[in-house]
Amino acid sequence: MENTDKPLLQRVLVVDDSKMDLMIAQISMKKYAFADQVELKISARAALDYLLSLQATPDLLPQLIFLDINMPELSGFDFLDEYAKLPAVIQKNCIIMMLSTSLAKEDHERANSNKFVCKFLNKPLDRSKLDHVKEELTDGTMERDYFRLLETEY
Amino acid sequence: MVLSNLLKNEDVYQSIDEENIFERQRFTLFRIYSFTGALVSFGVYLKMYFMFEVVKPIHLVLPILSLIMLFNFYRVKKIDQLEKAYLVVLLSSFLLLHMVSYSTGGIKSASVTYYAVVILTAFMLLGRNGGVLFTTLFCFQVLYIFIVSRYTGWTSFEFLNNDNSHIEEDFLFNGIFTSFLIAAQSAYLFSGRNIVIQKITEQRDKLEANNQLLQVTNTELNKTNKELDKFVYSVSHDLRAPLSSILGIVQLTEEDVEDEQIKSNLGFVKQGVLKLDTFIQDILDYSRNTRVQIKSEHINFNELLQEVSANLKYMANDEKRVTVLTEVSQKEDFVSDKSRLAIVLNNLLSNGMRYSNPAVENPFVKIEVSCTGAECTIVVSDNGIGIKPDLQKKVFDMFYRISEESVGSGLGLYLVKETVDKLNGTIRLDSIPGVGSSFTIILPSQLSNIN
Repeated sequence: MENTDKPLLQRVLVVDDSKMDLMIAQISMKKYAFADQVELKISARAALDYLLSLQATPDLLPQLIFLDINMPELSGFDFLDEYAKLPAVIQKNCIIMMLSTSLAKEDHERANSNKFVCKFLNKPLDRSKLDHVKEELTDGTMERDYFRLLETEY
Repeated sequence: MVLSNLLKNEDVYQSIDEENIFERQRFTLFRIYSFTGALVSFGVYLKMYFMFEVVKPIHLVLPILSLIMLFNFYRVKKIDQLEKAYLVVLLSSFLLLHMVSYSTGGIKSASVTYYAVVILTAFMLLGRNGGVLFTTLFCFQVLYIFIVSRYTGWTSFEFLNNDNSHIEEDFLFNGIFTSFLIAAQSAYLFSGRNIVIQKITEQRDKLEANNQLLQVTNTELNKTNKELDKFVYSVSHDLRAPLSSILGIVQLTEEDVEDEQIKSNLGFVKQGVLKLDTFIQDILDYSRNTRVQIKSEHINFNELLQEVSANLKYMANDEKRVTVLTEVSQKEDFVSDKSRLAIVLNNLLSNGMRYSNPAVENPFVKIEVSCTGAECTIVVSDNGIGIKPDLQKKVFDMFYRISEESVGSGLGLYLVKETVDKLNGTIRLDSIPGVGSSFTIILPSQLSNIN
């Protein structure tokens, strides 16, 4: 059953206040050969600190960040506000995708209108969703468009 | 005081609704008018009798008029008798004026003032149209007197003989009564005005108080609405988050398990979780539909149908064999609430797929949309199991499920109906068991609300 393909991404960061969801993300990303290293952070604050600690070594920054919306203290949107203040070197190395249970149209619109948000995924993370993201990332257009858009907005 | 009480006639006055100031005013004016009319008639007669000591039979009209007016004065006990009483008074005063002019030999300056007061009173008593009619008649009357006295001298009786002293007395006599009339009417009108102003002020204060109350209530309601919205949002999220976690775990485990029994058990868990999740979504949709205002957006049905198909509610495996057909004919811009339309279409489409007929080779759900700018007809039809005629009315009821095998929450079609109602549309169900069902929705454009 274990997938033997080489994982697409080396480093992925998952930010979620639910341990269960972090575990699901970790297992499924390993299982479906999505990422090699899955870094799990239980709060937005911890995630921001983690990103800042890698400022000097941008090669170790996560290529992809999965971000939950509803979290205590700092919500996903608060994280995005803080993220905007982070050094450009961090912003230029990470792609952010929202991963939430929320079906509220307002959340979708708010997330999609944020320049750092590349995609909105609904929980739970499963094979088909991961495969879909993988497909989009493989040909590199999504990545390129994302960073080009960031460039133009600076 | 005595006079004002006499004029008011408290019994009748009390019988008139306190709010109806104009009725009261009309009534009092009538009293003033009849009373003074009676006095004047009799006064003129007495003057004839004592001053000139000559009374012609025609002068007997004066005491008769006086009696008529006095009778009228006491007769009216109810407000609905007033109309006829006015007429009597006016006709009487008509005659009276004729007599006064007739016996005094022409139109005097005091009489002119008196005429003005009469006309004014006529307007007050009879309203605008009656007043105009009366004034017209009155003018003819005056003109008649004027012509007759001027050119024929008929009004100058032998005993008067154009004696100037008499004219002076007439002037005095008419003046006293005219002044009395004007004073009485002005006093009354003034007091009436005060009452009107007082009433208006009271009403305005009441309105202002009500307005303030409304504003407070409105603010409270808005606050409650916002809180409720937030509550529904949080509850739905907090309820759904663990469900999606469970679903994720179940899905992960499902793939690692070989044992058929465990696989089937996990299948049941998954089904239960999905059902619960749908239920929560339905409740969320319902609560939003009732509270959130209708939005006016331009609808592209092709895009909308794609979105709806992509976001379908969970499906069991056997539902995946159902084909979804869409046919959109939309040439003009149609304006409606996109998320509400999505709720309607999502529920109808899910239902169609869920209740497909296993005996049919190629099960399908077909969505046909035809739009004019003003109206949109959406037909969602399938070749599914259909609904028995006696149950067709009930399917739109809250929490109604046709059988134990129904997998939904019992909210889906209720939600559809409520949403269509909210959009001022209509929905009709045609169904033949074993053949299929068809829902026809007609929605008006929300274009009028767009600005």
